[in-house]
Amino acid sequence: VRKPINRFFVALAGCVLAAWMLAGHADAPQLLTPVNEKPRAPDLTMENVDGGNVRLASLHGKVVLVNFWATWCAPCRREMPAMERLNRIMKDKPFAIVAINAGEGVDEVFSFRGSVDPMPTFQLLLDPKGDAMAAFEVKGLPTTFILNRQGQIVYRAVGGRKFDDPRIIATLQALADAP
Amino acid sequence: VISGPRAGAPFFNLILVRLLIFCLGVVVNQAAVAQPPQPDNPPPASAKWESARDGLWIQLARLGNDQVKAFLVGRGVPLESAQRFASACVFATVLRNASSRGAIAYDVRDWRINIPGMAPRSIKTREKWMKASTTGELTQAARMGFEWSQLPTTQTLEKEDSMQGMTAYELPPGSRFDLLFSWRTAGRTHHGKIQGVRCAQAD
Repeated sequence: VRKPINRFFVALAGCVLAAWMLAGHADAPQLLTPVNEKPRAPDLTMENVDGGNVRLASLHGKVVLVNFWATWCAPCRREMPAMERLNRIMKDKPFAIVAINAGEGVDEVFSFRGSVDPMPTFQLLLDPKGDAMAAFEVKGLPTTFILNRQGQIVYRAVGGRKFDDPRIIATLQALADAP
Repeated sequence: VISGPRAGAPFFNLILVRLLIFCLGVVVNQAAVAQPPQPDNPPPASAKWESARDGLWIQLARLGNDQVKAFLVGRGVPLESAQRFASACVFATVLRNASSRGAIAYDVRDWRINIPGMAPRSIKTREKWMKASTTGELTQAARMGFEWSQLPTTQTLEKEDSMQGMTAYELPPGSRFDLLFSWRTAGRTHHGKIQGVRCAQAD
């Protein structure tokens, strides 16, 4: 009776190992890259498409998702609805999203917003000369930074993300709940 | 009555077969999950070239002259400049860190294109394309759109990161070339090659 049982356990062990290896490669939990140095985010003032200016430093005390984007950038467009869903999930937390547009005008950004479902209710800011992108050392779009409540950059994501992923939500909630 | 040392063999063989089928299902499912994202409106399969090895997934998707020209003119780039770039053999280029070992870094200045019968040559970077545009020729909005729609010359991609942008190879329409690219991960430089890439035909 020993021989079949041995084969059974060998197969089971192989199966578990294969599943573990694949899980490690295909479903990596690290969706945001920690920024170990935690530099202070640049203090910038930018025009809001809804009028007026927004100073980033005025958001201290909140966890802030700073997203750099453009209407012509496909992965930027794809992540917008998930960002709005995240915004709604986090509505009772000290949390804000600012999406900084790269070089486009109010009309383009305004009309784009109307085409997104669900429509973004977070702040859409303009960076006409690329000053904000230079200050944050952005190299390509989309790029996203997470600021903690003290205004330090604690996570970064280069390229598109699904921002309503439960793992990202958990990370942001933990930051928002931290003193 | 079945008895003796082989009594349980048929039962365990059945379990073994089912276990292997389950494992196969897990493998197929996980492989599907691991597929990198596809660009919007992908061109026909014959116009895409890909490579995936040692942590880097890279794809070149051929863009037509009119497609690129329309995009740039739409951003406010003057027709002449738009035409110059659009006719320079342009590809939508996507890179993704598919490594489980940490960050990968690339530098387009280290990449080369190989054309049969010719010495390998470097690729004109985003900065060089921007420098080639006459100062004052582009409005601020046009400059931003033109610059940021091109692939960044250098970038470090952490796990889950990806980057995309246009690359232009300054080759006549219909040219065929090999792309020799490199990247660094875990302190090692890796080299890759995408063979037989073909520029768009003239519109």
